[in-house]
Amino acid sequence: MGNDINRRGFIKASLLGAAAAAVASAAVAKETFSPLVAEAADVVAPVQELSEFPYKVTENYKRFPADKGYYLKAYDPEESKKPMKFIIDDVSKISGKKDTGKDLPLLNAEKLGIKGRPATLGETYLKFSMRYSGPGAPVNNTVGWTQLDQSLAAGAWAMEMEYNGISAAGMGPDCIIQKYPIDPETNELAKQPVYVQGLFNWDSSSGLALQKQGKEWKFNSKEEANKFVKKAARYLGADIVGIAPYDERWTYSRWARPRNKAFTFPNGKTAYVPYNQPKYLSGQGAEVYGNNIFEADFEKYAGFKPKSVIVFAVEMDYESCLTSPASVADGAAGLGYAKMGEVAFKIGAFLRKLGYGAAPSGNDTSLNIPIAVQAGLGEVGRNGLLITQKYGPRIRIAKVYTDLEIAPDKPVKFGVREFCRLCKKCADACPAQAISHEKEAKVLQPEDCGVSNNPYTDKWNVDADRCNSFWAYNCSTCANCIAVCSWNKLKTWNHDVARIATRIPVVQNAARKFDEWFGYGGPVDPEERISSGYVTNRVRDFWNNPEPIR
Amino acid sequence: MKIYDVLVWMSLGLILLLIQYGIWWYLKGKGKATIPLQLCAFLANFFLVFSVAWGYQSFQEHEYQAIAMGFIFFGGTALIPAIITYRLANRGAKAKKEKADAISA
Repeated sequence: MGNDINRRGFIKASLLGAAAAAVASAAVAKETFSPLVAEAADVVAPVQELSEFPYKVTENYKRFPADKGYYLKAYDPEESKKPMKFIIDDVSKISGKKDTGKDLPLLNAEKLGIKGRPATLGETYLKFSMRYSGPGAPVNNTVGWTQLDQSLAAGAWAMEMEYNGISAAGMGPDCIIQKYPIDPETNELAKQPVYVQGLFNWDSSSGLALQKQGKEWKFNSKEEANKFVKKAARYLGADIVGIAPYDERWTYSRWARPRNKAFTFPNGKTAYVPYNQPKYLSGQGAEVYGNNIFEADFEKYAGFKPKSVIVFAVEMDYESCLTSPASVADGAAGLGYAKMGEVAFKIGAFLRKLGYGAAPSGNDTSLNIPIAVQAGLGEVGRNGLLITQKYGPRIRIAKVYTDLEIAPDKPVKFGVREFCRLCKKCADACPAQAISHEKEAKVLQPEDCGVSNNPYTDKWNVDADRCNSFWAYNCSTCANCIAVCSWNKLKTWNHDVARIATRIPVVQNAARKFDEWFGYGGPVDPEERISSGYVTNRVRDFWNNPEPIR
Repeated sequence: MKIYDVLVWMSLGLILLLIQYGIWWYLKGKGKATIPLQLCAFLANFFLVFSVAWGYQSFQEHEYQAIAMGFIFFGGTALIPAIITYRLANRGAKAKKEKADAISA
């Protein structure tokens, strides 16, 4: 460049070019750059479709009885006669680290004023169940467990408790609720409640009537049904959706619901409660009444034989999950359940209007995770949760059974099991040490797991008794295994870059370390999460940040 | 996308381009504006701007430790090609100067 005019011209052109490029980069940055990185990540770290169910299920496998699930097992009077005992007394022998969960039954008993013995399952569960108002409830000034935080969680759970019918506990079929009838003439509320169906109701009479008249909507093909039903499910609020064929293996061998007794409270109202509430509140222990057992028969209770299952996941709130184990994180679970009921109800109504049977279901009726795996929603992680590519384990799963024939989706694989072998963040972060530290997943034998876990399937063991003992102690649910999970990220370009990097073998081995260095999910050590002030800061950040982090 | 988001991404694009222009200007001054050296310098430039973009994204996610680590990790990575470019850009002149000193002595 030999003269000034040329140079000046070049500078002008450069600046114009810079401005144009900058404007272009701004306009396309989020719209183009992010999807491009996501696409690159999909190319480098592809999602493989599988033709078969990816985990080994041996010949000894039996269908799981609903009443052996932790929450319904707690209503078995036999379980309230003996103190709790964990499958593995001391996990430190396996993990080589301090077992922070082994004394939980004793600590829970102490909080309930019981001396000299560990708490029973019934006492442990009721302590959790009455976490906002029962004995030992920590309504205090600890940030994360204050009345403000607990009220928020209670608000988030309200819809699940009062309209869904507590599917979270696996009660079915037709999750039921109790409501006080109102006199339309006088507007007076009755003192006696009546049982009605909740949002997961199985009344398909309208759809089946249409079908009988031959007026059901006929799709051109099963594939078209797959496309349109999934579109409808997304439109109605599902965040991820897939179709699984109906597979009886995952349906509970029997369905159950706790037996209730009527209690009249000081406000003059009667309520049906599955345990002796006055006795429990006065510190006289847990008296429960067992479960009503139902034959697992769709034709009997829903009026049709299911052919397909529409499985969907709803995202749990990101920033409140990170506050785990504080009560604010409990709200994320409650909101997830609320949305499960709402979306399942709407999908059910859609299918019935089309002229088909629909049986919406939350945690009741069947095991959610294998069905979600069959429908290609994700893989199973070390923490026993479904790991999705988009949200990691930060989801809740619900499904709708239908007699509409829909082409099923295929199971998928994107490296979760390989990653979980090395990572173990969730196992280290679990305050109850409920998650297996063993490197490899294996076909569980009955002696490897408690009755609340189904053996003869290939997975890592998660001890429900330990997990829920911490919930009782914490007076809140806990989501440490979700919060710290390396898959629990927002779907933003920087995490897609990280996903590309994890395909490099050396980086994959160090991925957990990188995750910790960058501080995602906070400290892994459950005690350090609290003592470092991380939880306190996250809770303060949650309340002071008007915009949700997305 | 909010207006400040647009402005931040616009600034990042502008910074990337201006720094690259500066690099070209600097290398031209040294008489070393070769494609390999410009590519090497571009790598440093890219990592530097990437670390800022990472920091901005992490700030939006309220992941404050990730902001700091992003600067250390990606900013640190940017130093490697930056040093290589600097050394290569100055090596010839230094060697020539030393040679000239030796002759005059």
